[in-house]
Amino acid sequence: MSYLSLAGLSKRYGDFTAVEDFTLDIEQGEFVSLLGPSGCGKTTTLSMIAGFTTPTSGRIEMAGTELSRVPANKRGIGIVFQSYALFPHMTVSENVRFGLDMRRIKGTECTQRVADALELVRMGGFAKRYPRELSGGQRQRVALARALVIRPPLLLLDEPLSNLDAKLREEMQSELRQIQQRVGTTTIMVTHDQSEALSMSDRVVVMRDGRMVQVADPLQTYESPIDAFVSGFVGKTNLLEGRLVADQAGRTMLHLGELRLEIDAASRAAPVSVSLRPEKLRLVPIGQGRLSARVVGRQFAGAAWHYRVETGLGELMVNAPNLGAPSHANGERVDVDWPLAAMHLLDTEPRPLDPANAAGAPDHG
Amino acid sequence: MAEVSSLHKPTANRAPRLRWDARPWLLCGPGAVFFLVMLGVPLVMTVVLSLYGFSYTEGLIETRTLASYREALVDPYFHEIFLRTYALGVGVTLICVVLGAPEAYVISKLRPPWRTICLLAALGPLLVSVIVRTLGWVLLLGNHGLVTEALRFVGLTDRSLMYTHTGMVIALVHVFVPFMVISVWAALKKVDPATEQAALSLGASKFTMLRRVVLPQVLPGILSGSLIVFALTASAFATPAIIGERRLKVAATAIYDEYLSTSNWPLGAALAMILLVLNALVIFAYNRLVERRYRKTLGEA
Ligand SMILES: Nc1ncnc2c1ncn2[C@@H]1O[C@H](COP(=O)(O)OP(=O)(O)OP(=O)(O)O)[C@@H](O)[C@H]1O
Ligand SMILES: [Mg+2]
Repeated sequence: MSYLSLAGLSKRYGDFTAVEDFTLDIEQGEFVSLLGPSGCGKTTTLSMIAGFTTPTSGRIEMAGTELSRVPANKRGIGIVFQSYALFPHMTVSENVRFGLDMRRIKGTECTQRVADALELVRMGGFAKRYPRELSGGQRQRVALARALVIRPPLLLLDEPLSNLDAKLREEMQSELRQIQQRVGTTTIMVTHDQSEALSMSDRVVVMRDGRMVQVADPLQTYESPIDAFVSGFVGKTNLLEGRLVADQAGRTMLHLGELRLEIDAASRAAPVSVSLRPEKLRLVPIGQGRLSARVVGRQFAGAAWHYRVETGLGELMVNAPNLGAPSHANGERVDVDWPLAAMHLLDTEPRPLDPANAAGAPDHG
Repeated sequence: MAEVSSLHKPTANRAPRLRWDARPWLLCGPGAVFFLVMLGVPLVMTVVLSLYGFSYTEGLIETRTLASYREALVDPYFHEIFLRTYALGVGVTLICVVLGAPEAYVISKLRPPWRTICLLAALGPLLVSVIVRTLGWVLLLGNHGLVTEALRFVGLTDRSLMYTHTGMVIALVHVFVPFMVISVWAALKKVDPATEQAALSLGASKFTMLRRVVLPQVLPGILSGSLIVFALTASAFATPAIIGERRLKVAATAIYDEYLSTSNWPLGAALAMILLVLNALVIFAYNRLVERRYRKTLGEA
C-alpha cells in the first residue's frame, strides 16, 4: 500500500481543464518532482493534495485515509507556497514558530526547533526581521523553514528554491535531500529546473496541459523520454526525422537522410523521430565520423563548449567537454560521430501513458 | 555614442540641482488656494466670531472676550452634550467595526459576480442623501413604524425608538458603516490569500487563522475606518437632528441651535471651535499611535 495515492485527479474551471486524470502512487519517503511548462497544472495538483482546491473528480488517499472529507488544517502537510505566503505582520521567528504554536509545542523545545530550522536554511541571524525587510531568496528560505519545522510526514514544495543563487541552491538541495532521507519525509516538489528535478528526485513526473506525460526515474526520463516534448523539456536534444525500413536480410535499418544505420528495434517500417543528446555527439577529424559537418557557431559554457554544426541532416547541437585544448573554430570542417546506443527513437505520435509505469513504485533507492 | 554622452549633459529644460523648484508648488497651488479660501477664511471668521461678547438684550458685542469659551467649558449642560457626542462616536465606531469588518471579509470571499453585486449593495447607501436615509429610519422607528410595531409584537418594548440613544446609534451605524466596509476592503485587497492557506496548512483552525493572520493584516484598515467613522459621527448633524431632535442634543445640533434659535453666535462659534479642536486632537493622537505601530510591519508594502 503506497503512502499517498492519487487516482484520476482532475480539476476543471468551467470549460477549462487545469488538471486531467492525475494518477500516481507515491511510497513513504519518496521524492517526486513535478516538471512541466508554466500553466500546466503543477500548482493546482499540489493545491488539491493540500486541500485548498476541491478536485472536480478523483480520489486522494494518504496513509490509507481518504482525504476528501479531511479539511486542510487537519492534513498536517508542510507546504512551501510559490508566493512564499509569509505572514507579513510576524517576524521571521514568529513565522517559523506559528506551526509549533498550533501544535502547542512550547518553551525550550519550541525555541530550539525554531533555531534549528532557521540554522538549516542559513537564516539564523535574521530571526527578528520582518518579511518585508528580507530579499526574495531569504523569504523563500524562511518559507522552507516554516514548512520543515513542523516535521510533516508529507512536504509539498512549489518551486522552493527558484529564487536562490546557484551555490545556495545546491546547498539547499542537498539539505532537503538529507532531511528527506534521514526523516523519511515524503516529498512532492514542483520545479521548472530540469537539472534540479533530475538530481533530487526518485521519480520525475513530466506534465503538459494538465496531463501527465511521463513518470519515470530521472535516468529513464533523461535517457528514454517518451516523446519529443519530454526529450525537449528535460534537457536539450537534437531531433532528427527518419524512417525505419526492413531490408532484404531482415535487418531493421534506420534511414536518416543519406545515412543507413542498422539498429536493434522491432521493424515497424514507419517514420520515426530520433533524439540525440548534444553531449553524446563528438566532433572528430574528417573521415572518422558518421556525418560531415561544418562548425557554424560556438559558445563557451565553462565546463563545456556548445557548438552548432551544419550537417546534411540540418543544424545539430554538439557539446564537448572543455579539456583545455583549443576548440574548433567557426567554419572548420569536421565529422560528427556518436555511438549507435545514443540514439533514442521516439514515437511521432504521443502515446497514452503506460498505466503500469504510473502506478508502480520506483525500482531503485 | 553621441546620444549616450548627451544623456549626461544638463539639458536646457532641466533645472540645475540646487535651484528652488517651483513646479510642485505650482501644481498644488490651485488646490491650496481653493482650500484656503473655502476652509481657511470661514475658519478664521469663526474664530473671530467666537471671541465676540453676547448678551440677550444687546446681541453681539464687539469686544475681545473668552466668555463664550468659559460658558461652553464650564456649563454642565454642554458637558453632557459633549459627553453624548463622544460616547456616540465611540459606540457607533465600535459597532461599525463589529459589523463592517466581517461584512467586508465575507464579501471578499464571494465568487466574482456576487462579489461586485454585494459590494455595491453594501456601498449603495452612500449614493442616497443622509437626510433621506435618516427619514427612512424615522418611518421605521416612529410610533407606528415597522420596527416599533415589530418590537411591540414580540413584546420587547412598547415605546418607539425615536428620540432615544438606541435609535440614534442604529441610524448612525447605518449611515457610516459603508465607510468601514470600504476601508477594510482596501486593506483586504493587500492580503495574500495564500497566507490564509499557509495558516491552515500549519494546523490553525479557521478562527485562529482569522484572528492571528487575517485580522492583524487588516487592522490598519480597521483603524483608519474607525478614524473616519469616529470623526464623521462626532460631527454628524443630520441624523442626530432628525432622530434625537432637541431632546438628545449632540455638539453639532447644539451649535446649530446656538446660531439659529438662541442667536448666540459667539457661543455657537466657540462650541464649533471646541468640537474642532477636540476632534483634531483625537484624530491626531490616534493616527500617531497607528503609524508608529504599523510602519515597520505593514507600511506601504
Ligand atoms: N482559479 C482559477 N480559475 C481559472 N483557471 C485557473 C485557476 N487557477 C488556475 N487556473 C488555470 O489552471 C492552469 C494551471 O495553473 P497552475 O497554477 O496549476 O499552473 P502551474 O503549472 O503551477 O504554472 P507555473 O509554473 O506558472 O506556476 C493555468 O492555465 C491557470 O490559468
Ligand atoms: Mg505554479
